Amino acid sequence: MASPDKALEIQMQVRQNASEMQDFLKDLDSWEDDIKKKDEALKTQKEGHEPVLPPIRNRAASKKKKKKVKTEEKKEETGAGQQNGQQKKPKRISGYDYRSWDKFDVDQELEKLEDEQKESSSEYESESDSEKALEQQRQMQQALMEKDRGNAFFKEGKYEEAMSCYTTGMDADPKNAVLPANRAMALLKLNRYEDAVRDCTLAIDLDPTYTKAYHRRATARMELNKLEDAKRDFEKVLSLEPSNKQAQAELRKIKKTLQPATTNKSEEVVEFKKTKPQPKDPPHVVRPINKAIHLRSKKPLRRLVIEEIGGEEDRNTFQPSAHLQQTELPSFPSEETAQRPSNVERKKPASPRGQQPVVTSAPPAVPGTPATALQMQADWRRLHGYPELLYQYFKQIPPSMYVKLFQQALEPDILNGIMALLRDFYLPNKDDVYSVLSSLSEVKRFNMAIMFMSARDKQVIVEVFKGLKLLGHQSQQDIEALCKKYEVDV
Amino acid sequence: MVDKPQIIAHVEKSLNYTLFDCKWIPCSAKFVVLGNHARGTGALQIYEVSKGEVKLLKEREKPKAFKCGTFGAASLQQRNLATGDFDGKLSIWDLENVDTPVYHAPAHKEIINCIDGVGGLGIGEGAPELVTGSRDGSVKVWDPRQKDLPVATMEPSEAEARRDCWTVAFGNAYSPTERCVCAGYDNGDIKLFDLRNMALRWETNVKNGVCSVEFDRKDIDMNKMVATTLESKFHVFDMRTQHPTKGFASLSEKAHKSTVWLARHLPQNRDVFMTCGGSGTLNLWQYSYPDKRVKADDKGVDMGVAGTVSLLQNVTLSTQPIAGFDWSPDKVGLCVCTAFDQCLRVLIVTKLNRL
Repeated sequence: MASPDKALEIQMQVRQNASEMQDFLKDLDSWEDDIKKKDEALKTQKEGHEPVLPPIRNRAASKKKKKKVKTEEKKEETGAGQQNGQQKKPKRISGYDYRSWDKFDVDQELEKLEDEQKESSSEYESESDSEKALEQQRQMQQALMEKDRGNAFFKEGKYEEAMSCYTTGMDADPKNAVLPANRAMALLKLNRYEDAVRDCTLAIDLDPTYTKAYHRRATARMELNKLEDAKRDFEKVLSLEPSNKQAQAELRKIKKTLQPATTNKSEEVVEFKKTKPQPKDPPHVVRPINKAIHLRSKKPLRRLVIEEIGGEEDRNTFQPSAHLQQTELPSFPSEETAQRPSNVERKKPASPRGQQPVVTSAPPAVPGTPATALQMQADWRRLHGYPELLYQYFKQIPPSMYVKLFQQALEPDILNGIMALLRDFYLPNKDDVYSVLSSLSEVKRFNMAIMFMSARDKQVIVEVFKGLKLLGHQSQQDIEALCKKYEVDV
Repeated sequence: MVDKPQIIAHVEKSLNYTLFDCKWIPCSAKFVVLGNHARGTGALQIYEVSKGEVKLLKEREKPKAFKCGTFGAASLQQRNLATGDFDGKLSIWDLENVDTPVYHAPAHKEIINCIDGVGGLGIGEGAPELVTGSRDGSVKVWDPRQKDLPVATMEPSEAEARRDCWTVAFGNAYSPTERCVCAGYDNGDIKLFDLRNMALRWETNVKNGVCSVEFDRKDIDMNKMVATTLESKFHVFDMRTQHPTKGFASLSEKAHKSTVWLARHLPQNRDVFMTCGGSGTLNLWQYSYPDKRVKADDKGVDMGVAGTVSLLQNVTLSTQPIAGFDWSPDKVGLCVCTAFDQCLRVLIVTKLNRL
């Protein structure tokens, strides 16, 4: 019973489909006519109101658009110019018209040609400007990547590889000051000081406020024994970053070596000078005064009589008096202030080089074991100049305490001092040098202090290690491992 | 059963070149066919449907073979066709004057496989933009107002392998700022790029090369998307709800017993779409939403729920893959398709308005 029904159903469906299709086709025909009319209407209809469109995606694009408008304007201008030019342009001068040739100004004509060329080339540039900007950005990123790679190599001690990374980075982005400065650091490590100086100079040219570049250049120059230049760099570092302790210490050291070499001046003078440019104590800072000429005092310059104030023993009273002096002459022009220190120096009594400061007061007593880094520093400074006492003082500190005691503050001068103690006292007395050295190497920032040691200071370490080897308390391997930490070869 | 739509080949025309793409010219009874001649040159033909036959109106041969085209970024007045060719060039043609392109850019190093447009024809908010995907692995977004340079480029970094990009589609263009590009690659990767944030919003891998992706609508808050793949499968993603880890809910369906080349949504009903198969078959599908499109996972985070698809009709038209298909935007049920048997077919699908 179901099959006739089904057949019927199918038949009905076929018929329905056929009629459906007929309908569709009829519909399609009328639609074709309609849409053709619509199509024609659209074609003839001139463009109506332009909808307000958002700007072109991304910034470089909008810049580009502006440029394009500009160049179009320019083109119009040049087009107008050409038209005018065509009217004005003198006809080609014939070869026989000698009179016209006499009037012909070759230089002017050449200039004109040059101007035209410039104009066209500038147009060309602006066309590819945004492309350049994109390219530049890409290269800057590449440079940063190279820098990171270089830094990684540097940390592993692969200085040559680090250098080549920095070099590729510099090629990609020649305007980045960090790359040459980092390469300079690698060069310093490789003892190529001349090259390091050159890279630092490049970095400074790119960024005149880049403190690290000055610092590295100063270090390189010290190694090259260009102390005057190094001094200038350290002073620059301090002017940019007054709290830079390393620079202060280095500067002091340079001055110490520089002073006796150039003129025969006493230690006291150095001490005096030291108090002058110390940016630590703001009241004593004398900064050069840069006033425009018309703003300067019209009063005639006046020579200052400088009173001499006692020697080393008066240092405590000396500082306030210096302060007094300066308060007297705040409005003086810079020439006068600049000259002043040297005047003072000349009047100071001279003492031969290398002599201990004349000390009249009794030597201080040896303090007990310090509990804090601050106390340790204070004690150390007090005992400075009494190596014997310093030795006693330092000896009583158990090496296990170093890490706690020095914490962040293992300053190069203290480290140098310790090394000198080890050489001069520990070794002759056959004290336990090894545990001191190994404990010191565990102090935080120890690497930094070692990194900034000069060759001369390193020599002390080398001597200590030599002595240590001779003592023969420790195995050769232990000593060599320690040598590596101190970055010296024995 | 009775109301099943019928797919009928209305006109069939055999041509003498390989057909890659066909597109209805908006607001007309005309369509363009793009392809490549045997000698490697590009073919561009314009036909008109008229009284049960197709008339060739215009024909041009261009130096490079055309792979794909779109009207998506053109204004309704101009109706300029954007094409991508085998040489990696992007061109825009004024169909009234096809001799020289109105826009030309060396877009890619290799063949442009796919192109899509948005912002024109009143479809999609915001600026008219084109997107191209190429064998060189990059997806680039173009603004016809900007010469030579893309406004956005999505490509793998130097270290990554460059996959062949087979398909691109615009979506989410419901406001002047929002816009997404979805790209499918030969290794089965599907990547969704958010053009507003210039970031990769979502990616997944469907195991087989992705032949075609299409949002059901370009100009709405993303609703759903179909991705067709090699090995006779297609996937429908519910794009409304993105779960932070699971992404978008999806269903997958077997069809055609061969590569599913294309999926095209009916412009008049976004839940109906046609898939084109490598065996010369066409399948018409309807998507049904689940009762609840969003549910909370065990942590209370919203996640989407996929619906179901049902096959409405299945016809075999050719022995070769059907690689080009386009619904007429103006007449419900009218469509054109091109197959690798060098035939173009104008089809009518009945009873679509009764679904």
